[in-house]
Order: sequence, then C-alpha cells, then structure tokens
Amino acid sequence: MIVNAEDEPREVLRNLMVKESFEVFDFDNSMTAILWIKKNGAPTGILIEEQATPLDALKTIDYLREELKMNLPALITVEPQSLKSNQDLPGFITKPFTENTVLRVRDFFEKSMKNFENRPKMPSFSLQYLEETYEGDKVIILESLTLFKNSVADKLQEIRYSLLHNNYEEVRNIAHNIKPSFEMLNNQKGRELCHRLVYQCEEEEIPQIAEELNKEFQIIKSELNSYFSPVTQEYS
Amino acid sequence: MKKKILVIEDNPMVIKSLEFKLNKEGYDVYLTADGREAMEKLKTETFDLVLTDLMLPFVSGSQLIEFIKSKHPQVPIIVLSTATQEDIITDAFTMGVDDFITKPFSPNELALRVKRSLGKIANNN
Repeated sequence: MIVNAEDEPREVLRNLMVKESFEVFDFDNSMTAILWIKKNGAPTGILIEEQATPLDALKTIDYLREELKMNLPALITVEPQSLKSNQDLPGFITKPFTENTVLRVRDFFEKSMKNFENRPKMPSFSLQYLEETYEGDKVIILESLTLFKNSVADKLQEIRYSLLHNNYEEVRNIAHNIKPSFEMLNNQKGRELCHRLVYQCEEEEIPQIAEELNKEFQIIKSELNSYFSPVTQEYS
Repeated sequence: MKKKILVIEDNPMVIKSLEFKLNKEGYDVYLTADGREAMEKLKTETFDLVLTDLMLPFVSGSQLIEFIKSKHPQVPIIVLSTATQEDIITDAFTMGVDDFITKPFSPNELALRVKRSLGKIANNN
C-alpha cells in the first residue's frame, strides 16, 4: 500500500512496484488508506510519506497497531532534505523513487515477513493469575480451566444464537460476562475482543468480532487440551 | 461467628475465585447468579456484606443497589466492576455503594477491601 499526497511521485512508485510484480493500492491521504484497510484487511506492507495527512506516518502506524491491532511492516518515505539520520535507518526511504527504491522495499518486506514467521510462538494463555489466586493448588486450577472451557463454549453458543436473531444488545451482555474469563487466563486478545464488543464497535462489526473471539477461544482450547493431559496424569 | 457475604455474580470463573478466597479468609459465602434471585434472598436473610456485579440478568445494577439500601441500609456493598465502567461506578457511589473492585480482582486486594468495609460497620456499631 502506498500513501503519498502528490500524484506524480505516487504514480512513479506505483509503476515501479507493479513492474516488479507487486499488487499496489495507492492513496493520497492516510485516512482513506485506513478505511480501505478496515474494509479489506491488511496489505503485505505499507509505504507512507512522513508528512501524510490527516494522520502523519507515525500516527497512522500507531493507529493501525493500537486501534486495528495490525502490526504491518511499514516504510516511511522522506524528502531528501529530511534529517540525514532518518534516511539511513531501516524503515525510512528517501525520495525520489527509483528502481533501487523497489529493491529496498522488497528486501524490507521479505525480512519483516521472515521475522514474523520466525518469532517465538507464545502460548495464548498463562496460569499466572490462577496460580496466584488459588495459591498454586493445581487441582483447583485444573477445575478452573475446565470451567473456562465449558462456560465460555456455552456463552459463545449463546452469542451465535443471539446473532441469528440480530440481538446485538444480548451479544454485548454476553461479551461483558465472559471478558473476565479471558482476563483470568491472561489472554489479551480475547479480553480486547470482548471489550470491543461491549464498548467500542458498531452493530455491523459485531458478527466479525464475535467470529474472531470464537477463533481465539478455539486456539486457547486446543492449547489447554495439550496442557491437560500431563497435569491430569500427574494428579490421577 | 463467621461473617456472611452475599456474592451476586454470573461469571462462573469469577464466582469460583471469590468463593475460594473468601472462604479462605474465614467468611461464609452465599452465591446468586442474578439480581432477582439476590433480591429474594435479601428479603428473608441478612448478610454482613454484599459483593455484586452491576450488569446482571433480570435486574439492573441501580435497581439492585436501591433495593439493598432500602431493605438493609447498614449492609456495605462492594461493586465488582470491569475496567472502563467509570460512569456506572460513579452512579453506584452516588447511590451509597461503599467500594468497588475491578475484575479479575487481586486476591489480596479483595481480602483487604472486604475486611475494610466490614470494619467500617463494626466501628459504626
């Protein structure tokens, strides 16, 4: 994705990228780009000029990260007269756009993708809170995890039923109810999705967020299943 | 004699953790999952403290607080809230709630707040 206010350099960069087999979506302002991402999902990466409007490059990247929860590889394009120190940093590219620009873009995106693929896989939950609350009592912790699996599964079923009947108020109430369950397992994503369902989203966004919540629950459930067997053996 | 605490909460994981911690602290815990059931209980029984969520099935948080304050004005109420319910918490304080704690609560903080609220009553008597 390219965000650049001036038509001419934007067109140049677009043509260079297309020539190198990139699929390009270009915008003259950051807000239209954000709305496009919101509607169509994340592109592979974003090239955005430092002084983009209405949100500049850093604010746009921050918005994508904090509000849309998208951590996209981002390159900031700067004018030649911009601070020399910025130009040499990875993540910054100096205008004018040339074929060399495209090589740097390709290299940057490939490295970002590799880093993403090689990142250590963190478990989706932690038992820290339960261990503190139950003073390390593994039997009660296990009971609590079973309670999580069963009670949240029931509530997600209720959410599906409410969605079928367009009862969005009830979906919000259910999300309020299960939010602490995700929090007690230190699952940040589930917590945030519930929070959005209760307080932040429009009605038309509810089905999609509810589906994301369901997917997150399935991930936790599957990780819990692998956690359960050794612990159950230990206490049988 | 053990102090009696009524817990009004509809998340089973939160209920379990509250029950565990409060029992451990030496209280008798009575559980209800909705406001209507809680009101029925409060008509026939007395409690030393009420711990309640404010978004419950059947009865709104403010209706519940109003009811408790009219029937048992001396009983302290601690609200179990989630973060970012500032408006609701402010309203609850205006109606006479004694304290609030956010879910999921820190076990030690819960113990401390319960003890403090019960202590206030003992001092007043």
